[in-house]
Amino acid sequence: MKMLDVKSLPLLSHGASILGSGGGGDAAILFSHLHYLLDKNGPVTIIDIDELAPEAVVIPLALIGAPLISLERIPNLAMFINIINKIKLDFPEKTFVLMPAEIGGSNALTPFLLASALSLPVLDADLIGRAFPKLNMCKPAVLGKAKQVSYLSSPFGDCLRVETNTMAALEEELRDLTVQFGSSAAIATFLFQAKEVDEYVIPQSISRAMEIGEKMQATYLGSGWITEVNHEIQNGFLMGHAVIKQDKTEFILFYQNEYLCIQKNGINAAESPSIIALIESRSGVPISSEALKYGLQVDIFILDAPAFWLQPDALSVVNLSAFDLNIQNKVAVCID
Amino acid sequence: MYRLGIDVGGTHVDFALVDRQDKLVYGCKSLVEIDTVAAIIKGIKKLQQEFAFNFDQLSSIHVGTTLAVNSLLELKSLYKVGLLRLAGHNPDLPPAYLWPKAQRDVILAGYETVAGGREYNNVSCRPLNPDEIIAAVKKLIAAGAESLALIGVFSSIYAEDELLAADIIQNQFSIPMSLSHELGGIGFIERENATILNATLKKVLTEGLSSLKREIQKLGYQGECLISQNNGTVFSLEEAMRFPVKTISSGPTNSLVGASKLAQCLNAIVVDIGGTSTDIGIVENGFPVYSSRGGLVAGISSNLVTPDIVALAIGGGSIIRKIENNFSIGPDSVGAALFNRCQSHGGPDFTFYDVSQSTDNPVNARIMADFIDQIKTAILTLVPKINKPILFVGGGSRNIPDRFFDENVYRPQHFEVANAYGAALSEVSGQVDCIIKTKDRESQLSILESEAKSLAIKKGAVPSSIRIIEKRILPLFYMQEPMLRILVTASGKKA
Repeated sequence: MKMLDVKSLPLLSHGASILGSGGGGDAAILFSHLHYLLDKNGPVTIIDIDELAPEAVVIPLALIGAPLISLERIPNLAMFINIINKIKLDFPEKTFVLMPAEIGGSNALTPFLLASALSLPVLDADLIGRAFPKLNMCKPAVLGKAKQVSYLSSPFGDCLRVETNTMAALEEELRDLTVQFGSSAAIATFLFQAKEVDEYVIPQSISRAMEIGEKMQATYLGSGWITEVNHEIQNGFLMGHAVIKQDKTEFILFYQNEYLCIQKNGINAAESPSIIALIESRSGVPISSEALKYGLQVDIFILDAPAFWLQPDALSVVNLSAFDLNIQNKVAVCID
Repeated sequence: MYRLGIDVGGTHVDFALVDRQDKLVYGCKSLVEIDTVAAIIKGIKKLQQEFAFNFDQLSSIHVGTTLAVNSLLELKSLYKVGLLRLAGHNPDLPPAYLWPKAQRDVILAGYETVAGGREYNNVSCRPLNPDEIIAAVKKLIAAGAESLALIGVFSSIYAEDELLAADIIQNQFSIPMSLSHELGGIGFIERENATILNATLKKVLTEGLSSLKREIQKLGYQGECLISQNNGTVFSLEEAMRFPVKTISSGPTNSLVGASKLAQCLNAIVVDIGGTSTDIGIVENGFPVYSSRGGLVAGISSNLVTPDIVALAIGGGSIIRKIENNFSIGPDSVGAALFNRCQSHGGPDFTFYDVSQSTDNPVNARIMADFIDQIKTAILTLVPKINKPILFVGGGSRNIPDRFFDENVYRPQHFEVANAYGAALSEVSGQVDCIIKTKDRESQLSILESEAKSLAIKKGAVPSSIRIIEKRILPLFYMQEPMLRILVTASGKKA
């Protein structure tokens, strides 16, 4: 039986940070808290898709908003407990299984906080297989599951149930409410019944993160020193590009929360949905986009995208043109 | 006029007398026999005799001290800390959670969470309640707290709640307090750790520095006595007693700066061999390379600025044990008792010092080679390849035979007092910290930089030497009007 305990937590945390492709928030945000709960309550059971009971409802959980806020107003358990109490009103007499909504970054750990407190199992899967900046960039959204009921909670006991009919409304409503909740909130969305699992999840995401955490399986692209970081907050996203140099090789990394494209000497070397991971050479610590800093020495790795994203319908939602990056300008600048 | 740099270590106190041009004119060492203050006084007297100068010629004394880090490692002379969290949302994670158990048990008396703290946009998490604060402090004191640490959510941007709570406490209790907003930026747990450390260290720094001040004044010195901080600048004795945690990594900083300047080498790898340990760090453009993530001190993570250092538990006094055909170096050391304990002076212990006395002997040659190998391996964890000169400093470097040195690996002159020299070179700084609108970023940044520079000049910095050493720009997410918190520090040579 698979489980998460204090020994395997560092593997999940490290692997999830790599799968975050620079986004999803630094897993360090939740690491101590989850370590504390696992230490106190014992391991959390991780189940496979075929172990789902037919009457089970799966609750994808995440923290939504600016990761920076959770670093300061550190999350409490109450925000997750409020959500599940509200969900229980909608699904009386069901059994619940939790799942990370997003395996990339800190959100890989989010469902385990509640799972540990309430002794619930966590499903070895997620909605994305990595991290992406927008809510419509997940499997059920691509497959047209537009009508959703979501639950949003602040750490102060406020909890809302939000019904939306389109992805645009979902994104807009939840962003607005998140801002009102102090720009960081717990969210459960894209809930599904056991029989719908194939249309909702990327299977085995947690196992993949833990395997990567134990032994990196990735293509090495190069190393260098970060010589330039340019970014700003636009519409709630961290938008920018960073330059990484070593001798005569120059990499330019473009990001919108997540690293989405990297160029080597002016030519795209990898792009979304492939996963781009930056690892600080000395410490081996994955560097997320908000931690990019002049003078860091990094190794660059590329990981394959989850297979789902390579299908044409899915690809069109997450290929480079789906983002707000301004890549061509940058090439011109770097040729100068 | 001269400046005197003093490095207070566990086994030796080192002295470096520096002239107006930052040239080291005289250096010496004084063994710690009874206590450090006695060693300082003995050293100053020796300096006055051997290098004829009187206190009128001394513009300032800069003291670098390892009092803070040593007391944390040895768990001596620490206050028991009561932590008060102003966090209306009641976080569940207990404080000091991932600390080494020994440190947590000795330092933390207890903690209480009360209403208070702010959201990112300055909306109150839940307003402060004076009665609740007083009741919480009573509980902490009953639990054994001798010093308080206060932390409020988002206090690094909005300090009002911490200040108000401190006022309420001060009116009722007489107990030292440390406020988190004075110690770091965003990151609740890291800032909390730094605040708890600061609260616990107030005891040892207040005791140590008060007696230092008293004894130096007894000698007849009336001038400035300043303390070096983690970032390579100095602050007053009073500030050091208020913010002891800011001295915690001044030792490595001083050694890096001092070595670089002694060797006239702006980019270098510095190996500082002491009696018990060896610290290795990097200097770029004459300044230490700081660790990219928060520093780890005595196993505790915080948001403090600390040089990126690899520390090895090997040094001049390390005890060497033979194990069958092999041997181990350290981690224990005879420390200050070197000349009573080592075999070359008739003592019982075989130390690294003894090895250095006869490296012709094949076993000793192997031990020496192993020592050098350990250092090289450690260097390669800091830099991918060795493409800078390697400078050996610290008293223990004397034990490395000449044949290991060449034009790229060497001991600069006065290597044994590099730390004290670094302390003498410590700069003075000015800092501004405020919130601005993102759209005004460019125009405001340059204004803030000049404000920080004028503050440094007010503190005695030479205008032509001033540069910006720190520029932290924290974007405040999801605001109606995008805002940034800017923290700028300017630093310059002391006139």
